[in-house]
Amino acid sequence: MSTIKVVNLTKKFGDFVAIDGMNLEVNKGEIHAICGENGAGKSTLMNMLFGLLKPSSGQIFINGIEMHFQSPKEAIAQGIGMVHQHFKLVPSFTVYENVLLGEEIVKGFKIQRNTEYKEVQKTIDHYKFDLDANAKVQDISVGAQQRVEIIKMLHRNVDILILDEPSAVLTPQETDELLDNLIALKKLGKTIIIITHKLDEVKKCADRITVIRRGKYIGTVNNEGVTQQEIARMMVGRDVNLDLQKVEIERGKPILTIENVNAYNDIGAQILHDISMNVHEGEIVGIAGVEGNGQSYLMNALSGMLKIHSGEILYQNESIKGLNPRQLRDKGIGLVPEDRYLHGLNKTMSIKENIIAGYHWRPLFSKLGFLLNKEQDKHASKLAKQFDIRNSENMDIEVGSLSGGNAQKVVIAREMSMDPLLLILSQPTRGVDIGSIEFIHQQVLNSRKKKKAVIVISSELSEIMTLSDRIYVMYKGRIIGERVTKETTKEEIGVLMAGITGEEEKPHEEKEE
Amino acid sequence: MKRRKNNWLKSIFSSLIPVLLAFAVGSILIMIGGYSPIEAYSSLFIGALSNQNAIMNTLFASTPLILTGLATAIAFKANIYNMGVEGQLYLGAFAAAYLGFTLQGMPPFLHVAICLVGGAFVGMMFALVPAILKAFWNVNEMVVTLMLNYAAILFTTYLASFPFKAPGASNATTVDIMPSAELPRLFTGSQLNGGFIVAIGVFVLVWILMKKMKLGYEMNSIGRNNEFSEYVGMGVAKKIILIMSISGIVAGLAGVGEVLGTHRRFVAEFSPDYGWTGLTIALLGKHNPVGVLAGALLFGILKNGGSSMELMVGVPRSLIDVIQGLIILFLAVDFLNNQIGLTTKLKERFNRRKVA
Repeated sequence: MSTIKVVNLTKKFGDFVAIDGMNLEVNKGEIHAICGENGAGKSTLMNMLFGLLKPSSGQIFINGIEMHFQSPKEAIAQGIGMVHQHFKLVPSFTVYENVLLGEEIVKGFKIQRNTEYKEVQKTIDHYKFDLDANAKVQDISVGAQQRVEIIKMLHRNVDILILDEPSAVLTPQETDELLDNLIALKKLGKTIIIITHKLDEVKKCADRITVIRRGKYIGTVNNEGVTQQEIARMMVGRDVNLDLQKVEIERGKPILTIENVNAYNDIGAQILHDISMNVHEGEIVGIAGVEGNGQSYLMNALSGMLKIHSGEILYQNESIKGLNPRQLRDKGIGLVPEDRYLHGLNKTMSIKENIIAGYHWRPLFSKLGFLLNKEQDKHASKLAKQFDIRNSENMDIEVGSLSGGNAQKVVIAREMSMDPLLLILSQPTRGVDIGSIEFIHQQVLNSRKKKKAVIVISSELSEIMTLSDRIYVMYKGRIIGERVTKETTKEEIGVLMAGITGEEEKPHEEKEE
Repeated sequence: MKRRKNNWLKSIFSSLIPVLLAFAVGSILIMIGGYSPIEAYSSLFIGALSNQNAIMNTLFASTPLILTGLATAIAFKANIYNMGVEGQLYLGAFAAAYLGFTLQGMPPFLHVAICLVGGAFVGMMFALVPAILKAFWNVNEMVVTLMLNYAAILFTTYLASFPFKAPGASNATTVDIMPSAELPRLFTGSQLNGGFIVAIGVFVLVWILMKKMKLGYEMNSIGRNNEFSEYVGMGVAKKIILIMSISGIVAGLAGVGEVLGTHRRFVAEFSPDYGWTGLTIALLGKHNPVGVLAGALLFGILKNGGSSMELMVGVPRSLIDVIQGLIILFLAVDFLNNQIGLTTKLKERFNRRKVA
């Protein structure tokens, strides 16, 4: 008998159907992967299983009994635990305090710390996790923090564990370790559901795979005997080109040179340490790193949004330190920010208004303070066609109503529309469907072909490996390594991402050849 | 284009609802008082609109409200909470009065123009204080503008009570302005004066600014997403200063119009909350100049028709204040709805009860 059975489940948000007549069966003691593109409804489905959302219609059975969860507490009581993509831990507390948060062992008015510690360590040992119950969460690695989240659930005796995009914040090595842990848990009889869109991980650990697309159930297949290509096709609904053609290009003179840049945040902590790097004509430079290692600050510094304390940024041998975003754009720098709906787009404005923003003061689009609407319309329609922005027959609809991929194409179209000499992209394909990723990557490669300089900041290592000619790795606000893509491997970069340099490298020694 | 049109209808509809609800609740109050709501309301509208004179007086009552409504809408559109329209109006009014009674022997047209420019300038300078504090030190403009209202009102009251008090006057008022500085009445038998022309002129300019100009586009963008606007290089700090200046100019002009057209001198605490009513009108009009114009006309009708309702049916005029208060209340519900989805939350709770 299946331990989880979902029958004809539907979830509507207003008029929007997020999950449409979903069916799912998960067997006891298996690792079941839920695959789908961003926005397919994976998280919505799992949030309903965990009691965070209530279904509009349909049924959920746990071990044959129909359930109507009102809250996660009830789900946990029925043996279902969930590990979210973003951890919910208190950094200044120890591991055992976090595990028992809200369920402290109390005698009289006193928390029994010793008993708590022993209990939690017992659980950790039972599942053979590499974790010290007495360590503070702020001192342990991201991978270990995730193990705390898992232990938190296991300590509450759950039999079914749901993991939402667990590898998003991990290095490749940590991901492998996680997958090993999951397989070990399976052997102990736990049922595991893993939500992901990374197919190599699915291939490594899952027993069965359920694919959903646009809120609909597409099918369930056995991992054995199915290829990544086939899963991708189920997810997207058509054939996908996973390899890109990259032509040989002679790289030209340096366009951007960053020298020993340091920056501090509002409370005086140093967030960028001695950053030095460069990018040349006809070259794509990738900046790899696990999220939160200073890449966002670097992007802000390059976009004129973060004040640099010391160091120099030279663009075509001219300092651009301290220039504002408008001046940077006027110099021919295109900026695709990390947070699409905060910095990249104005969600409640139209496609047209978004696609001219930042360039609307050019004589092409305005005259004596008045907007030239016709010119803007023409420009916007041209870009919509050129950048394959779907569902954009009407340029007056709100950008917020576009899918993630199409919204990102609006940003890319805007920033590439003026043919920038230097293009800086941060997380260019986050939350973007596979079809659009393919298209955006192609556009980036075209810029390189036109002898432009490109910087790609991404926490998706595969993206960095596919696009870049040279890779810098960021760790804790520093650049701890530089590699030529052709001469390195994913594994080597992964080791650097974890902060391990192997040889005693010093950043200023690894400057230009 | 269809979608846009629907949005348009929707926003008109959502502005009408609070008004209709306020009238509905008002009619209950009228019934409690033992009068007929239909009679009361019809006498209100008849009194405000039935003949040429009545219409002129309604327009007269609307004049300052058009300007204070626009002043608020300009700032609110860019998500800048200028709550200081009332204070900017007072200072603009006093500046106009001062120029009006000090300058002598000027040709009328020039004198009026100087007073308009002077009042607008002072309104702008006063609005610059919170604007600069916000733009460079991120000081909350809502608090600053709110507090500065008291400073402005008390300061002008002081000026009219002591240094500039008209000799022999029993209350705090200045001497009359020169006839050359007066905004002339447009028709005999009505107080409607040149101030209305000024208000309509400002309305047209603001409409052009907000709908056709680069700055209008940027105001909209800053209002909707400040971070985005900074990232694409709009230079938000400078734009805040510019937008607040324009708002202050319009607020100052509202005061100028009252002095040159209505009172013909500065009277301490002359404004029956024009600034605050303008705020209600800006919210009712969804920060849209056309919506503000319509809202100002509605409030003009209420003000002008109120007295005839009192005369003809006997319903006290203060009912109008109640209706205005109710409009604010229902607008607040609408506001909460947009901000936190109040009705959907209530619906959810209701549905949960039904299930359980």
